[in-house]
Amino acid sequence: MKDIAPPAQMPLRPPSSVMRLRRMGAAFPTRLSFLRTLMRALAADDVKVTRPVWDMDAAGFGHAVYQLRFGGYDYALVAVSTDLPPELRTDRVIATAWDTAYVLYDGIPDQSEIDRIVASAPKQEAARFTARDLVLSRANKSVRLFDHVTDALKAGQQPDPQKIRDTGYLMRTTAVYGNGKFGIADRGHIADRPGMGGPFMAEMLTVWLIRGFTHDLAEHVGGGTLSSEAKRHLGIGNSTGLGMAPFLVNHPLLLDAWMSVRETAIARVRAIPSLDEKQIGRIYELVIRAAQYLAEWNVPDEIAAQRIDTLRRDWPEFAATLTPDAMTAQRPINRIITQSAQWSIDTQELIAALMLEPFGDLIDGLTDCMATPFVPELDPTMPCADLKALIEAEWGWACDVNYEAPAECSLFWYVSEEKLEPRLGNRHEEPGAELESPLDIGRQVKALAKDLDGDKTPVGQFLAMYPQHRAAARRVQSMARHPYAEIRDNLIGENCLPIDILRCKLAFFGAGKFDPKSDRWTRITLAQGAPLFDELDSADDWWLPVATI
Amino acid sequence: MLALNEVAGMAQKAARGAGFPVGQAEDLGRIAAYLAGTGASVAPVTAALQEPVSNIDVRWSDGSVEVHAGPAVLIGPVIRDAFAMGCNRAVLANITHAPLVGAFLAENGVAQNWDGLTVTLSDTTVLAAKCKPVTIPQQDWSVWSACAAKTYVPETEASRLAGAGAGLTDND
Repeated sequence: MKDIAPPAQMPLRPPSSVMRLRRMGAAFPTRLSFLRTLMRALAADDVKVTRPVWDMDAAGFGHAVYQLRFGGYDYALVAVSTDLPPELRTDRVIATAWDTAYVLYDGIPDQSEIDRIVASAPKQEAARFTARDLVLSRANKSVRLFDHVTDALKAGQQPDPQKIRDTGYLMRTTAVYGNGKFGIADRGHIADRPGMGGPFMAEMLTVWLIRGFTHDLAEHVGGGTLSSEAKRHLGIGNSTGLGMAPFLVNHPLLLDAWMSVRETAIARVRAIPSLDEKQIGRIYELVIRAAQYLAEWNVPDEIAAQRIDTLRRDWPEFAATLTPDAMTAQRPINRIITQSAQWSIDTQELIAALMLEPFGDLIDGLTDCMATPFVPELDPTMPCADLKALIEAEWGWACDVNYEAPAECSLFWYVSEEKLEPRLGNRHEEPGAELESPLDIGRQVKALAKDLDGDKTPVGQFLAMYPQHRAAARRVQSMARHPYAEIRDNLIGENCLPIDILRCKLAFFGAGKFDPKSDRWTRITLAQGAPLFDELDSADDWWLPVATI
Repeated sequence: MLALNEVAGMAQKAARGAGFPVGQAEDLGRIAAYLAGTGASVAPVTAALQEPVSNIDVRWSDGSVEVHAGPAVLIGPVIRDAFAMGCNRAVLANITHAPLVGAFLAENGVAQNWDGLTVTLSDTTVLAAKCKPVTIPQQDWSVWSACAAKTYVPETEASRLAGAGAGLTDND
């Protein structure tokens, strides 16, 4: 077997910059995002989606089953649509009923399995599921757009393109549960299957299938056919809250894998010695597309709107630097990314994401490294002196904080008794801080550092004396091997904006059009511009989708 | 039936609710999933959750560690670390801790011989957990759930609105 040298690469951007919340909160989707990876895998496998069951009344209530064979396995989405009385269409945290509910099923469900899912899926968290169920989800209609689209179709017309552009989806999922929740299969059950090994592949498959169902449902109720252009621009919405934040903190090696892959990809494109005409043309095309995307991205949130305004101001300035001389210089992308430091962090991250887009051949293979079967392990043989040195070298951001100061400990994360959901409280004003969830990583590591003598005692013996430092010691050791494993900010400080953590994770999913509704939950759009069920063979070009209607 | 991820998550929360530190709670979650995934009884986890949190006292000597005091949730990781550091013998203070300590070692790939309170290395192999749905006896699950519930914060109307940032209706 011949050794194949990996492609050349420049140094990776340092974790001390990449892992700060402000920059994580400026993340954009890339061609490495999970939905893009899934679409390429579905296309490569020539997947065909069929709809063997469509049992809907005229108003669009009933159930449907979609089937596909992927990587040698059959999967099915069972979709259930119910009549949701207006009084139950309520705020998402206390909702107990939704317009639609879904299960991604392992195999082809027989009638008894369909009946089981039709009965249980609408109950969501209140029901129990089986290991044949891979993903559980639900979605509510965007009532205004759904009604407009169906009314237009009933009148024999296409919907107003502006209304489609304004909302961008017919339904919005409010939860997509995987990996063992409520009795559904553990991820380990499917992780070794072709196409399902990457992170959140089953969940991404589910949302893409749901998106297709929303198109079908609108056409059924409206009694007409939506144009392909309209359907392509109708993605699937999602509302995401605080749950994603503890996930990233509790899966440090996974976070490291995602970040390392993206940063390695950036380092590879920076090392490209020169660009040919076609590549230069492609970059110009993407710069124009990004400008249109920014123009179409309008949100009511003040902070987000200001940041988008800054992006819109920076973008023409950036575009003007892409002169023929600059594009034909040596290592042009390295120069572009280096020089991007003159603009806002949001602009820097958009430029980095854009520069990955034309170079799939060079970087797409890296996505195989975005899942990890490993979890943090403690090395009890390490001398305490080495552990102390690791803290001194890489944990200044944690140890330099005075956690006694009210501003640096004002937040506490907790799990609510009623919904078992992650929440965030104010330590100085609300009860419950004594039950806080351990997301205070920086504070834990600082406490460890205080008790470490820095002698040659093995960590295992030290922890027998100080068992309370076990989690912190394991994280410090893990970060030494996985430099992108930790969010390098104080997650209990008053300046922590959970929305930044959410956006980072959602960008890896492939989400766009971030529309924050507070500092702790956001709406997004997934799969906008993605291929329709019958377009898989023709489409891997939907980064920052812009309206074509 | 339960997924292993649920088993691990519940045991981890239960250990925190019982007052044990975060790191040992993480470890106990892994051990619970390991026991369930190998088809073994999870009773040692339940017993460990019902022990009071207390200080540990262990004495180290060449190739050996001797436990004088401490609850199983804290002792298990110490013994696992000890074998990873090259010890080939450990002596417990409490024979009821042997099943959980044995699980801690086995989950880390350490095959073992037991002679009363003393555990030594063995050249046999250990079972690997299988990823499959499992059943946890109700009496165990009830204990775990009750412990885990001690980590939950009761809601108030204010916390529901502010804590999740979801005061708005989600209609559009």
